[in-house]
Amino acid sequence: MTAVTATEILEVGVDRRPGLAVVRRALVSPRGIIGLTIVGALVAIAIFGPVVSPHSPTEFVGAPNSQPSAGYPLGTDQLGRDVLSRFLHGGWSVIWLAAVSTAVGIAVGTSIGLVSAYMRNWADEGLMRLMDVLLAFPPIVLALLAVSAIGPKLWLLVLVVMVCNVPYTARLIRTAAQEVIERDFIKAAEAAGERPLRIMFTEVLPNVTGPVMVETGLRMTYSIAIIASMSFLGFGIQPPNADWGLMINENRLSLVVMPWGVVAPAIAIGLLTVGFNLVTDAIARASAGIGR
Amino acid sequence: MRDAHTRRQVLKSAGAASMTLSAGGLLAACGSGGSSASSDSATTDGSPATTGKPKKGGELRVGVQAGSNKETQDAHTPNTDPELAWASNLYEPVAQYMPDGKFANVLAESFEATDSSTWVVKLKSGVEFHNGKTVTADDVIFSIRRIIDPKTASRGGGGLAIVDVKNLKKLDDLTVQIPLKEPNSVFDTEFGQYFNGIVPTDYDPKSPVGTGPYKADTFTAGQQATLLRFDNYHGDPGYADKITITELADPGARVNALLSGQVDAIAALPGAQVKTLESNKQFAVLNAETGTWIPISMHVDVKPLSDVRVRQALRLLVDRKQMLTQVLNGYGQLGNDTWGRQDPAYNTSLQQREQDLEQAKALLKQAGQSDLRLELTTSPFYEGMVSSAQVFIEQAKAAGVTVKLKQLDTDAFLANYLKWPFTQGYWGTRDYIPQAAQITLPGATLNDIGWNDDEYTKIVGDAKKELDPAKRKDLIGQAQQIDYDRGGYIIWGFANVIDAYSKKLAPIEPGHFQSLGNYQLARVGFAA
Amino acid sequence: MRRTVIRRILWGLLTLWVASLLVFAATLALPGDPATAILGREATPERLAAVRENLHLDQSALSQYLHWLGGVLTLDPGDSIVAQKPVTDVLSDRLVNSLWLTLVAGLVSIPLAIGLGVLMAVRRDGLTDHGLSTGTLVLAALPPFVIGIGTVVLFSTEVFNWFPAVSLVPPGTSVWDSPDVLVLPALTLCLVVVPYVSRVMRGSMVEVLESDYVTMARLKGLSERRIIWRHAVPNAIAPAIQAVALALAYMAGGIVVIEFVFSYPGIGTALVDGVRNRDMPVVQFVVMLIAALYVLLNLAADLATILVTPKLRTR
Repeated sequence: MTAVTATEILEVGVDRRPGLAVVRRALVSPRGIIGLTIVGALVAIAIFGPVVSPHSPTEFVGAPNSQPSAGYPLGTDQLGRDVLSRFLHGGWSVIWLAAVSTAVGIAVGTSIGLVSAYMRNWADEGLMRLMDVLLAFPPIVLALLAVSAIGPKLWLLVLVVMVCNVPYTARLIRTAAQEVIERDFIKAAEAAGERPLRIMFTEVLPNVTGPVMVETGLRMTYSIAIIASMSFLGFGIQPPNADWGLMINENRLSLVVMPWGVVAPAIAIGLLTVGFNLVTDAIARASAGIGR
Repeated sequence: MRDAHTRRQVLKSAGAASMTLSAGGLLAACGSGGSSASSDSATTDGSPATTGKPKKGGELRVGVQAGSNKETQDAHTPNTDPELAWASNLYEPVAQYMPDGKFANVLAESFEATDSSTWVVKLKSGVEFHNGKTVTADDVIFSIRRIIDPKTASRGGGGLAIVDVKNLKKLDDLTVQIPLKEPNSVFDTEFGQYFNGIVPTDYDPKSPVGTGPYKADTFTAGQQATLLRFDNYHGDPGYADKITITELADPGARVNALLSGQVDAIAALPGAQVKTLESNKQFAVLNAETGTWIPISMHVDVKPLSDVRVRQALRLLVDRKQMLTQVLNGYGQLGNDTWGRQDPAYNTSLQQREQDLEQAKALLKQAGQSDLRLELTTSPFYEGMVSSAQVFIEQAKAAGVTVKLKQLDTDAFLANYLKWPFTQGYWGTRDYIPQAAQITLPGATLNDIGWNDDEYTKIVGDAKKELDPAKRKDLIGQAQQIDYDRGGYIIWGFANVIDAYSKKLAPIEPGHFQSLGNYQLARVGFAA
Repeated sequence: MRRTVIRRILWGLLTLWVASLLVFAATLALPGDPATAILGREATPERLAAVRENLHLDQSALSQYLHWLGGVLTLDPGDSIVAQKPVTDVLSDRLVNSLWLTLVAGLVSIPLAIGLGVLMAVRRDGLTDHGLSTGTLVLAALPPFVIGIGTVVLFSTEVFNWFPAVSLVPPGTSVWDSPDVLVLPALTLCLVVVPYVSRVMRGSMVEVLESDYVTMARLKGLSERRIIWRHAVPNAIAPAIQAVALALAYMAGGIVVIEFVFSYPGIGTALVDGVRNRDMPVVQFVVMLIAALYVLLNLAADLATILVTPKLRTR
């Protein structure tokens, strides 16, 4: 579950201001700054980590579970590989998998939400009911079901996470869009004979950028959590690849003697999700206009 | 699954000079006396091993390795570590190797060969089964028949195949004459194994009855068994009133269980965890050199592994020293692609194979397999299997070989064990021939490399019948040369058997065969 | 109102039915043949045929679906492939353990969450609110397994050694025989659920506190305490009830990963093991169970909201 929820957003209303101003305001707020710094730092580690990593993530550098030393500041894992190097390589998979699932999920969810809000008839009802069915499964459970049948494939993971993201986005955007659709300029466009699709994507969409951005932040946190959890369970990225979620599981046995293999990636995942949430929260508040 | 003890022991048999013997058992074997396998298994915790006698009473809780949901408490079919643990305490064979390495009589008063193809077992009198019935010759005959019966799918069936079952003769209430189909002067060690326990004529594996120091209490397959002390045991009674054997497949769970006091002793401590426990004053570590081997098994009858160049290439790409460090944390010895390290007949003239990537790549190129891709099927069935697979896979990359790891749970792994073309195994200490009987000779039930080699079979067959130890050694050496040149196993090393226990227990004598003093848990008790 | 209630219930059932189709579809996506998976080494053509007939593998997909659905509804979903005994046998103890865990976690977290939410609302925009808000934001963001590992590191291995990191419960005994295995998993569940529920509670309390109704009560001179507990909280309950139901629903799903962290012997670990072994009967049954729970709890939340919100009642 994520902190700022749809309920909270809707309670405070949707901002009409254009996207950029909202973002600028959000970034200047204390939460925004802290959140962005954290996210920025971790994304940088994830992307540039492999470049600065002293060793390969699969190379054996010493005896298993060695304590931190000059050459290996975070010690070695239970097979004798450098924990720091594995840590530096381990963020990329979490981030890109989450980013892709989020991006596709937002795109699909926003489209469904817009269409649904605009159609406001049986199609609306039908689409939303479909969303409800998807929400009948806790995301991990749905992912596990898929993996049990097809196996731990990465494309499957992205697909499932995307499918789990869509209903939230669809519902949120739909509600936000409904308010916009009632307004005069939309009615004017309809009267002028503009095609529905054009109206949806060129008139309505720009006016729901606030909620879309908030959703993106929420969905990223959500996606990261699911993907890291699936790797932790052993159904995401497979060994011997380095991945933060996987590292936490692999190194649990050695927690007592060499905690870094678990603690470093756990802190990284934690900070990443918290950072995203802070940014999302900042945008939500900025979107709301006056703070609550 | 595999286990064995081997200890070199001189045994007098009619007309033969001293010979080496081996018995089935679980992991480990240290040689006695002058063997090259040292007897430095020690209780390592910084304090000298004391010989304080344990006190009677208490509940001993032991954490063992992965089992399977298809487990039983059948005397003749123990395969998994837990099955071994309870079988070793519920049942007894007529004789077996003791923790101190000597082969000694257990149920037998005497067990000797009257001529080269006939053996006689005379039972001790007054030995009781758990149900009060006295052990007689009929029970021995019944047990032998049951072991040989293919329907039992027993571990010992292969070793007892040379028994002339039709002519088993009861000489008197306590004496059985066992004729063999051909001469074999090591029959006593073939028969004297922990999986050849003597059971009563009305034996029902679902209500297990044996002669061991503990009797069956509760049993949940795949999880736990409890045993209660048998007060009418014929030998020294057990110390603990009750033993609880809990299966903890995940090594982390095992270690945690010990550290948090949920069990008193655990089997198979991963090498990487030894320092954790040694530094904790409340626990002691048992660390014994053995002849345990964790091979990578290559089916010689499946392409591309059927090409001996491919097999040799795979053997050559292994950095054996690195395997010892990364997998065993140094607790082991180098292997040379054949087994029986502690067998006096072990062929020490074979040059120790080392990593040679150039040669490996050249062989692969000759075989047209420069970009070899393989799938390795394994399971965390025994400690060290998965980690050695992971290290091997990493090493293989340097030779251009891409190996994909397929990790299965115990049940799934065992269900199709002999079918995986490229897989792993786990074998305890055994001398060369008894081990061959389990894997590479005709009639072997666990031949996981599809081995069927006439030249090899003839050589080993001759060795079995050979009474002169020097000639025998020579023949075994030839067999091992074949293993070395074209066998199906990558045997990169021999692993120590490492266990740990709480110092609430009196010091446990290391067993060199199986975990925790050969799982002879009657000898384990709480410190006085 | 009755119509609304009935409609919601029907939609809930429809959702469940479609969910069952999805769950069943997983078997169709299986590569390979379940019969071979079960028999393994002992597979002979005759035995394969017998197993196939037993599992109705020779019949059409529709027929298999009906057979499976019937089994689920009568709580007889066949045998676990791995354990070779009925799924219900394998899961019964585990279900009880999971229920205990959820109960303990729920009894602690829900009152705590509501209380925190009220506190944050009453002291809104002050230091307490900011502090608690940030704290709950941070906790709510963390994936449940990270929180779980955090509790292990803190209370089990690195800092304190109070509780076991792994739940060892002897078979045949219940978790209450080894109650300290409940602590860390329940604590983790609480830490996962409380932030979300308390924030929602805060939100609705704030709305109520700033409503005309409460302003009127203040003008009338009623004491603040009376206003909060007699007038504000009852009106804020509706979203709180919804949040509670959703929190329970989330625990139904979150329990999977949290149990896995501690090897807690519940249906969560049963599900993960089942997935690993491709033990479809177990996987499908547990997924249906959790989905059913999820849908029912959501439905309960909806209905409770309707009942408690006057204006919705007359729609």
